[in-house]
Amino acid sequence: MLRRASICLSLALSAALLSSAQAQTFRWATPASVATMDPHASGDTTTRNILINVYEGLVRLNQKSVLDSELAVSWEAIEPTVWRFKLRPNVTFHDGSPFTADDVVFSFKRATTSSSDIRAKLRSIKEMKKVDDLTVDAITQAPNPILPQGVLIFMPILSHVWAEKNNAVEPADNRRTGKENFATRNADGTGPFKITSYGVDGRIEMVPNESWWDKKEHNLSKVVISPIASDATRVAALLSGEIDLITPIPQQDVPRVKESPQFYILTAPEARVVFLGFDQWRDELIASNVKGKNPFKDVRVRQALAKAINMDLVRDKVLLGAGDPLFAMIPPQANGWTPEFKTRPASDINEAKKLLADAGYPAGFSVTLDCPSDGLSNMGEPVCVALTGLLARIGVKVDVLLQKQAAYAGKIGRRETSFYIHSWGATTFDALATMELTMFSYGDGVGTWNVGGYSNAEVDKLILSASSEMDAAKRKGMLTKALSIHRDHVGTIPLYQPTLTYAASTKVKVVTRSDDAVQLRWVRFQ
Amino acid sequence: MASFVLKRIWQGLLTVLVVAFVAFGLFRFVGDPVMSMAGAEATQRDREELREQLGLNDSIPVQFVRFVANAATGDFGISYRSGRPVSNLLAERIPATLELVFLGAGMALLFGVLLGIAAALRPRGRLSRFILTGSLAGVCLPTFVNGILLIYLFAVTLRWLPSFGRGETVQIGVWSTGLLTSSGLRSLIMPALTLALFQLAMLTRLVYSEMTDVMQTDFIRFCRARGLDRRSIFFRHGLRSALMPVVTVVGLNIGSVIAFSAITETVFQWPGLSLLFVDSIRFGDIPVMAAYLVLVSFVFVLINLAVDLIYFAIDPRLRVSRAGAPAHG
Repeated sequence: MLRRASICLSLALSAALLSSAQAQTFRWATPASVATMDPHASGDTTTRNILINVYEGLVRLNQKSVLDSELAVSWEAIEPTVWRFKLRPNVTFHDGSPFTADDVVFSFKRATTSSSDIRAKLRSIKEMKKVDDLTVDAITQAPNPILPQGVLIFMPILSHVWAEKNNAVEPADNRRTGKENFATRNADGTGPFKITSYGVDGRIEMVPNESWWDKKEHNLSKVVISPIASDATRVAALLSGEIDLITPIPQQDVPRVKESPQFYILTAPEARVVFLGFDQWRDELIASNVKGKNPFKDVRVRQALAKAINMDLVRDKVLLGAGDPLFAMIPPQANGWTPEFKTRPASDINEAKKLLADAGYPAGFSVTLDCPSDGLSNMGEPVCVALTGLLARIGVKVDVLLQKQAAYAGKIGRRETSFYIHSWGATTFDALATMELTMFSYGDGVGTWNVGGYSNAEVDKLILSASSEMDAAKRKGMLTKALSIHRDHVGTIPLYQPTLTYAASTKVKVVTRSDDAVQLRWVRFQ
Repeated sequence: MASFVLKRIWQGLLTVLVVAFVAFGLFRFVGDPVMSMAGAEATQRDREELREQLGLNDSIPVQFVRFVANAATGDFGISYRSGRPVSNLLAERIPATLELVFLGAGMALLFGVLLGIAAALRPRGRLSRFILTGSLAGVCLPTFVNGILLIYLFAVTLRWLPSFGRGETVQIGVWSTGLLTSSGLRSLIMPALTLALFQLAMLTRLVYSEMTDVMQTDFIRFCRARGLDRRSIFFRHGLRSALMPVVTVVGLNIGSVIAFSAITETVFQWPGLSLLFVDSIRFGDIPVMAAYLVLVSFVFVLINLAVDLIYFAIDPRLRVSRAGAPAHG
């Protein structure tokens, strides 16, 4: 009783202190800090999702992840390969310089120089042309029906006046020159928040941009973003009242936070699919006891594995509910989805064993599963271990090879794997990018991440046609059809769509979005 | 004397080189930074270009020689992740680590010796038993458990101390210090205590056992026979000889406190060198990892050199047999 009283007292005291000293300061903790302040210098997700509050693009997504206008007020495809954007008038950058077509052309050039790490995302644009001060044309290499949502959303716009004044017309090409550049640690965007400090410890402080062009929906006076890598410490920082929002919260801490009336849990289905891939191109697997042939080339083996995996069990026991089983390479939020993609092959051990026997492996076989120990939102290890148990029931002996994310990514990228768990984000909320990179026959530029080497002429043809089909309904039909074929062939075994889980103080209202981007412009203190 | 020191320095440099070389050999297993840097949409050519730019296509010995040549001029290259010179990153982080390590080591030394003496005063007393049981817990509990327990007690339950970070810092020239602000000092308490706990408990036990041993030796018995008072025997004669091995252990342990502050820095999100290193592993940031390992091995070498010199000053036998000196490796 005494203890409770003292806790209450100290809570009341600290609450009183906090409310008087730092009214409406929103304190947010993320696992990693931004890599750099230069939005063109790094393709890192954390960096993008934090800088999105500072640098804007021509278009953005609204709360429902639907395309919305940002620095462009309207756009249309005036020819199949020419998109015309009308720009927003009377917008200024944080340093006061006006936003015009020159900044768009400049930013495109800057984002596609050799020292930019986001240039690959913008590859489908050949040129940006200024038509007048508030009009630009984007000329594409080939017709691109989803240029704004699929490509331009990834192009942050910088002030050319500021960049020229500060000698930052290109992202710092540090690898060769060994110099950092003004833009590495300073920012000048048009967004709703301005950076006021960027510390050695990765701490970022922002204040609202009072001359922002859009209607202000937040009521913040200051924002402090702190990196806290350790899960337990991040949770403790929330519970101790030092932090208002943590993204993410580990699943095992969710019940504790729910118990307290001062905190709440926020969730959103992530626009991402976790799947198993297998080598279907080598004549002999590099990490298996089967010699002289490749069991994964046989569709019956792939079906047997899919049937042996009871995802409902994994969702309840391993993911603790933080995921939705599905059986397609895109999540329901992405264009191309159809409700039947939700249905997984019925889990049936006997049938799976029979399929394996028919394929010539009545006693099963052994294979190594490449698994990122700190990947898949830290669920890599438990999920892989659970799969081992499920697959052992049909005689497939899986050795889990746990590696750090960086090592694992290199190994997968070089295709030095027989069996791997991986995830793919539908960051454009459209199936095409996922399909081009993970399903199209392995090659350069397209099919780069088709690690397993699935190859089907009809799927390739459908992807190619969809990439330039300007009719939305027809295009969607093509995407869905190609996804269905891949699904029928078990080109991969899609497992689940992860659930993003955050925790916050009940004092703040935060909007969650499927791309894991917390937009400060929607944060409100109650 | 001079030849002894020169020999030691030469051996130290060799050690640093070997550490750097082993580290280089290991990096290929740490990961491929190119995959994440180039982005998912990159083509093979993009990746190849990047790999060429970073010099990753050269053989390990070639990369190693380049690294050593640059490091000799103080240039540790550029961080792959942040695009900033590694030497700047390290320089910015050193103050945080040093303040933490020295405060932690200071706490361990002060409290360890005091508690050890208190326990040795009456070896069978209740206080002694209490201290020794406590020190056993301190030796056994892993650092991250200590850290988390402290956080839950002082940050979450009592809300007295901050659970993460370094608080407000003051910049004095190139040095950023947290010692001059109240939030900085409050932030330092728990990490320093966490870092100190193991050393503290170990020193307590060491001082206690050395003291009880010394107190049973003949020369103490002779002191008693001479009729010296108890206090003088205990502190002037007993403690002095008991502290010799303590000096050795403390000297050797400062290096490991720096090297093993990684766990403490991670638990408290303390923005020091080790946290930088842990982050760089996650992102496959090879230049940062290499520079950190070289720096830590360099610190170890320096400390060992200092300990050798102190031995040299204390132990007359070393001075006599100069040629055969390196008996205390």
